[in-house]
Amino acid sequence: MKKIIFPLLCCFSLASCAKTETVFEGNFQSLFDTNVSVRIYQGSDENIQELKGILSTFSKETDNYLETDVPGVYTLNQSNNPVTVSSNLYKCLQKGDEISKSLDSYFSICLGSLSKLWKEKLPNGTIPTTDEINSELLKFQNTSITFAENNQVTRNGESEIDLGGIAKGYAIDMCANYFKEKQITQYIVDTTSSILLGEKPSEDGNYIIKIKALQNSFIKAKNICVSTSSIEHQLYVVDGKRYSHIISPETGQAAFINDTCIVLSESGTLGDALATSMMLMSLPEIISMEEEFNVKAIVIRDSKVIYQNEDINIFHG
Amino acid sequence: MDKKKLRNDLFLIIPLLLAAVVALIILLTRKTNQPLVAKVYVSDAIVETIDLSDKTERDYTIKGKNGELVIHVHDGKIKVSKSNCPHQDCVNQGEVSDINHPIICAYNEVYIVINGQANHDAEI
Ligand SMILES: [Zn+2]
Repeated sequence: MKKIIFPLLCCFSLASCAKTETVFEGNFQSLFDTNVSVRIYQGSDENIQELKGILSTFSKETDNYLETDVPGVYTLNQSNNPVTVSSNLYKCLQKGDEISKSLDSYFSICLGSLSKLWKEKLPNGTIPTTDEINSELLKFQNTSITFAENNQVTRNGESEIDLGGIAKGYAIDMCANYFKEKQITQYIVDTTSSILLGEKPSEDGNYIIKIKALQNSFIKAKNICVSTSSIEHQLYVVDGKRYSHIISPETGQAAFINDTCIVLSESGTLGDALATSMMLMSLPEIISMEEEFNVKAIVIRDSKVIYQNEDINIFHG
Repeated sequence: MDKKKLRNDLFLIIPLLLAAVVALIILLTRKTNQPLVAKVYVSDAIVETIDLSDKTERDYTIKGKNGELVIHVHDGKIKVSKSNCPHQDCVNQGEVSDINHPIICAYNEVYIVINGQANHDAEI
């Protein structure tokens, strides 16, 4: 009997040892103008490849600068003709349109033309004239999106659609749906500004996220989306005034109040839009947004936390 | 010695030894999927800690004992792209991305080693 039991025991201990080692990783370059990394602790490499396919298609669909082999935002911006898009893009545009309406004076997915105007000027150390801004603002105010059956979308008006503010957030929401469908619970998807967290195979299941805008500061989180908007990447100073890539739909200005806003939310799409919006908000407004949308925020100015939701614990390591 | 007892003992020992060897192989060859950090030492003092999980392309200029080195980081890999040392061994070593290959510039007393794992999973 011993002859059988001991080898069997050894095999079992080995098998359990091997099982805890499962990690599958993918690092996808140049998606959504950044790198996207996916790490799962369950499933297989096939899951990574499937996600890569989903994300790269969506990245092309949401690109508003380059024509790609799939109909998308670029196609919509070329004319006011109806375009049949994928169901993913259709839902993303619908969700974006819905969020734009509820965040009215802080966020819109139809600010593409204004955003391009600022992006042309700022790197050259100039800003658009008041006339230029007002003319684009007028176009923006007269632009809308209509949705018809069978994934048909029409852009009405002259301002371009720009999903830059929510594309990555929607992408991680797509990943979350994928994981749910495949019953994968241990994962992390990092698109730099939007991070999807499942559970980490550790004692408490939390991931540790470093806050770049602060010295040696971290938050612990799991099963949530972490969205961030920050001037860290794109800050321009013209005549002593600071400008960012965040455009106010109200004023058409690329100004901001806060340096970094981090939002913890159930939805990456909503989290992204809120993080961007909060860059333009005062603290009381931010706090009321937190309540309205059931999210948690951290607000940073001059490398200091000026507000953190009481449920968030920032620790220093 | 009882021959039968010896045989029974061998049945116990051999599978255990085999299991130990296999486990060792798994431990040594498993992929280190955790984010890594590179530590840069000049004359045995850490002058820079570089997070290799941050995939952005960037350069670090390091003041060595006898001159400057430029460290280039890209896609989780690290290399010395420029150095004033006579032999250029550090530059010629090229890109390094694992814990087993430190980069050494003897002339500048610079030692770059990838070790441990970053103490965080992501950055925002
Ligand atoms: Zn050298």
